[in-house]
Amino acid sequence: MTDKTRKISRRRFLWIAFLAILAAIAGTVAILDFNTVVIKMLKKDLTHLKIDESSFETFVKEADQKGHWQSKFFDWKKKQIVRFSFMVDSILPTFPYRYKYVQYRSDIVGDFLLSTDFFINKMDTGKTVTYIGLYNPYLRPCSNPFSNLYYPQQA
Amino acid sequence: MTDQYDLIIVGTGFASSFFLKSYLEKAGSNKKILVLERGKFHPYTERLALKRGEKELQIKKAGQTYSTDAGKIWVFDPNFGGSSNCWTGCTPRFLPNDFKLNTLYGVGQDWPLSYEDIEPYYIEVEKIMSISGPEKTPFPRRGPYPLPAHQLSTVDSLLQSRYGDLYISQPTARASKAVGNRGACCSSSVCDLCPVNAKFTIENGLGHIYEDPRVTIKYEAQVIGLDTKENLAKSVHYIQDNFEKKADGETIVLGANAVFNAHILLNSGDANPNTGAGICEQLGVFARLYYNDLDNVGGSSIISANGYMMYDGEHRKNHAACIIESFNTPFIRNEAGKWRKLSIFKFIYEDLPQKENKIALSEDERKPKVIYNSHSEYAQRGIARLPEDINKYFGFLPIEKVEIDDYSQKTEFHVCSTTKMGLNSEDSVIDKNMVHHKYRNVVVLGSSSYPSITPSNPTLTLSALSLRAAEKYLL
Repeated sequence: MTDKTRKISRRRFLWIAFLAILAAIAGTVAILDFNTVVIKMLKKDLTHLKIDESSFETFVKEADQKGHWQSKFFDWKKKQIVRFSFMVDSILPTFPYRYKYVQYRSDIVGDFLLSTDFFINKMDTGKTVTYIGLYNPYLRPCSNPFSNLYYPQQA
Repeated sequence: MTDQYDLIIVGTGFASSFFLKSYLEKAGSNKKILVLERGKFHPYTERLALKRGEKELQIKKAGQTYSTDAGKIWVFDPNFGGSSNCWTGCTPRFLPNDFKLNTLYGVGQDWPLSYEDIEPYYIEVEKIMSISGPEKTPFPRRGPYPLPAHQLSTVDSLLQSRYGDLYISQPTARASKAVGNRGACCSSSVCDLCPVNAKFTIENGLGHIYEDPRVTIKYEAQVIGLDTKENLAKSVHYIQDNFEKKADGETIVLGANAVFNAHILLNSGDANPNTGAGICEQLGVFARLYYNDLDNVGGSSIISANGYMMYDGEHRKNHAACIIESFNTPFIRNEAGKWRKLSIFKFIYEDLPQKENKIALSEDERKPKVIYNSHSEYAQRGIARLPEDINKYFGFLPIEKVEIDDYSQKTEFHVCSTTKMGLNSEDSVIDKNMVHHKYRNVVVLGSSSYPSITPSNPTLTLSALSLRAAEKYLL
């Protein structure tokens, strides 16, 4: 085998590898819709908490039914960023705008936790976390768990 | 026969309503007033039912009312009560130096009036809106705010310890205590429509003025233009139920907003080259500060504090002033045990009105066209310094990581500077009493009058200007 053919083979190999990764990502993204990604995310990020996993399904279903993401300006573009980044994040250590993806992921996990009694119980990891209904300040006003109502000023 | 009125007012937002309130108090009992509102009246209870998913309601949005080729959006509520239906209720006063930007810093345009000229009207508006605010502020004020200040968060308290009066609990129309028919703000953080009606709106604060027997209000009546003769406007043309109608008025008050005030004047043949030119608003950039060992809790209301460290000073010769907002929404950091070791701040920069950004006529006489190229380099220079400024002013906090958006928000929900006030028609459209330089019975209200916009929220100041304009006009 000559040097030249070896070089070509390597290039070909890299191309094939690249296309295979691309196809795998595209395929996975196509299979994993936004709701599935959200459930996977919640399972992964909240593994240290005692949560009935059916809560994740209930949350996603309720969010869909009540147009939750649209009302939070979580538009189609953001959803696609989340889906795509979720896949890429498990392969690459970093990528452009990863910080935005992490922020969106925090928003999603935060919205789930706000829909439970976790913050009401002052983030007690020993207690079982119970889903109490999709967080909606119009149905449950005054429930910002970080406000002065929950952390009153010391006299 | 055309209907005759002593006063015709266009719009029912802050600018119009504060003018009308003052006018009704001072004018005779025989006066006849027509109010033309382009939108509908959607009462608070109906808007709340919509948010709770209990009712279907089609509310007209700002984006349906104008055309543009630019990516930039302008947000307001084109219905009864105007943007009081969607504002957050932030009511800082301007600083005295904001009114003399050109004299002090050699940029932009001075106002034809001073802080001292507006101060008495600030006090009056703050009383009407029952503003909650702190004892000490970066702007001079006589006496305390009507309601006590909202609580600072743990992070805010550290910043206030360091910066004193330059870091304060935000003055706001989100009532810290129940007052009148308003509840007490409890940090629900959805202020466009407050779930407990704590925020001042035209409906809950000034709705009664529209029940005055001297006032006739017509809904879904969009004003298109004015008939003018020499230095006076004679009548108002409006479209209602798809018919063009006309009403004659002794005095005509334009209190629509900075898009439509200019559009009405342009449709009326106003040839002043300043009319419509300069549309702008502030630019907001979010930054997240992650802390090693500092929980950010205990603040009240959606925005717990304002920082003035980057606001006024010699730097304004080179780059834009910035006001800081400390957010208190229920955001989290997605890391076990560090849930709230995080702050979100918005850094809001003033812009300078650019002539090439403007309101223009379109083929549709009901729809103005907004032409917008970009914000000023002056504002951009301010934004470009943000990493350095965060390090300078926040560096003493136990910061683990800083994330700064590399873009500004699509809108700050303010529309300004299309009918600027000034000394004469060479530099402006209206005079210091908000009367049109040419049409001497036309008063043009609102933030369209701002020659420079400052980084502060415009509502308190425009409301104060309306009270002043009514008083000056009737003198």
